[in-house]
Amino acid sequence: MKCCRFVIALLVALFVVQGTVAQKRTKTVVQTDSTMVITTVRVVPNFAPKHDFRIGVGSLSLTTLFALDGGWNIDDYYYDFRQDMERADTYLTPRTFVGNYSLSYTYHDRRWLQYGGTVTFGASTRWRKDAVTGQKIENLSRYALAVMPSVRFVWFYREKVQLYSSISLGLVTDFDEAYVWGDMTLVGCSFGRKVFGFVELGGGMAGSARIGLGYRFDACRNSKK
Amino acid sequence: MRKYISILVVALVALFTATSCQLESGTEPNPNKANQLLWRRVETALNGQYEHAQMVAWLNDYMQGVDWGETYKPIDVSENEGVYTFSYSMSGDYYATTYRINTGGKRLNEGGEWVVYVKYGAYMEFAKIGVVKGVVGENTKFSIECEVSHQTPHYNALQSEVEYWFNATEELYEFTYTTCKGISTDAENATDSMEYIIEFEATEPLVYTDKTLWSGKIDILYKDNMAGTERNVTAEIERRFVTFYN
Repeated sequence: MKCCRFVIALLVALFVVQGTVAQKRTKTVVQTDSTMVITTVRVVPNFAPKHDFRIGVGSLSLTTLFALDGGWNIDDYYYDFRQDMERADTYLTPRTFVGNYSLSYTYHDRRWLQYGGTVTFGASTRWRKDAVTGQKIENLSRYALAVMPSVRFVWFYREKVQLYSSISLGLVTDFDEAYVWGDMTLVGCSFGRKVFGFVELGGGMAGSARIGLGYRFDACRNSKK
Repeated sequence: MRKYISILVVALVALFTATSCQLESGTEPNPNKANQLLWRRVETALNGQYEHAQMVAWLNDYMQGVDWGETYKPIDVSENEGVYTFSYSMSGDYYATTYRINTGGKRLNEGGEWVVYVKYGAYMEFAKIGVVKGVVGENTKFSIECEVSHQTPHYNALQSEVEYWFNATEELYEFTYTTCKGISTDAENATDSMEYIIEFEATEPLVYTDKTLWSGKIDILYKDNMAGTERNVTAEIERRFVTFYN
């Protein structure tokens, strides 16, 4: 259901993109008695920023779940009788995933090639509470942090709209152990000029569907790469 | 400015709602959970003892020519110099449980002292589970002292005075533990260090009807040797239903 909301958001974004793109092509038709000359002018954006910062939030992904479940560590779910007795007067609150939050910086080397780094934080919350008083007696929340260099390939570039894919590879830690893991954006769309929004579909630590805001800066007018 | 802050707050709440989800449901507070855990352990130990007592009683009657009928009848009884060997299989068991009871040539009502061995699988060895002593002149009374492994990693040791009789109206055998006390712990044998120990003693006779604990009252004391804590509970069984009193 929540994934559906993101798909709808993505479709809306693509619709906006399509409308924006349509405005950027100017078609001129000059017709004489014998010939017809059609000229299509594509407007090349003159806004070419060098950096961007993004802040985003993502839905649950298998990778996040894996990391929050302890990674390669298989939890020993077997409790002996004594431990069961110790826990008998307590109860567990539901285990809730509270989102993947990411912060990224990207350097725009080429229009089609951008690279930078992403920090992603995901968490699930759960407490053990006293059955009588309801007081929290043990924090069973789990956290996962990922630091990943990333490369972004922009395959549709307009001043206000970009479509792209990206790949990241880096370290993930659940604050107990660390391991190498990746993240991939299959399709992403950013819309806006200096301040922009973005929606992405992919997989990895940032979530399977992501949405967020960003800021592009260090604009160099008339620069062409 | 207030407008933008409102939009930001609404957007953050919407994003949080969209991305958060429940991974696992919680558990309900159950004030009786510790009592239930303790009772389950004690009941397992009692049931293990009951199974052995039932076999002893059956052999006792078999030696006096009393037939329990098909429902309770073990199979393949063989006797060799006072050592009786027979199998008993509950429906659904893959392997029959085999008993070997060394009667020493004496019946229980002659003051016999029987040594009971059991093996739970075809490829397992016979293990001694306890000693049974008869009451002279009484056909249906004996004391049984067992160390019940019952295929669990727990160590249980029980002492009971058992009386049994056939209820002709219901066509059922009834067993009564007139006295019963024992321990249950995590160690594999009595010499190992024990992280905890459960001690129990019947304060009212425990009556088994149709292989089920029907009534009785039993005090249970749990000692956590690691944490140094104790917990008391009394379980009262009436018509198979158990009520706990702390």
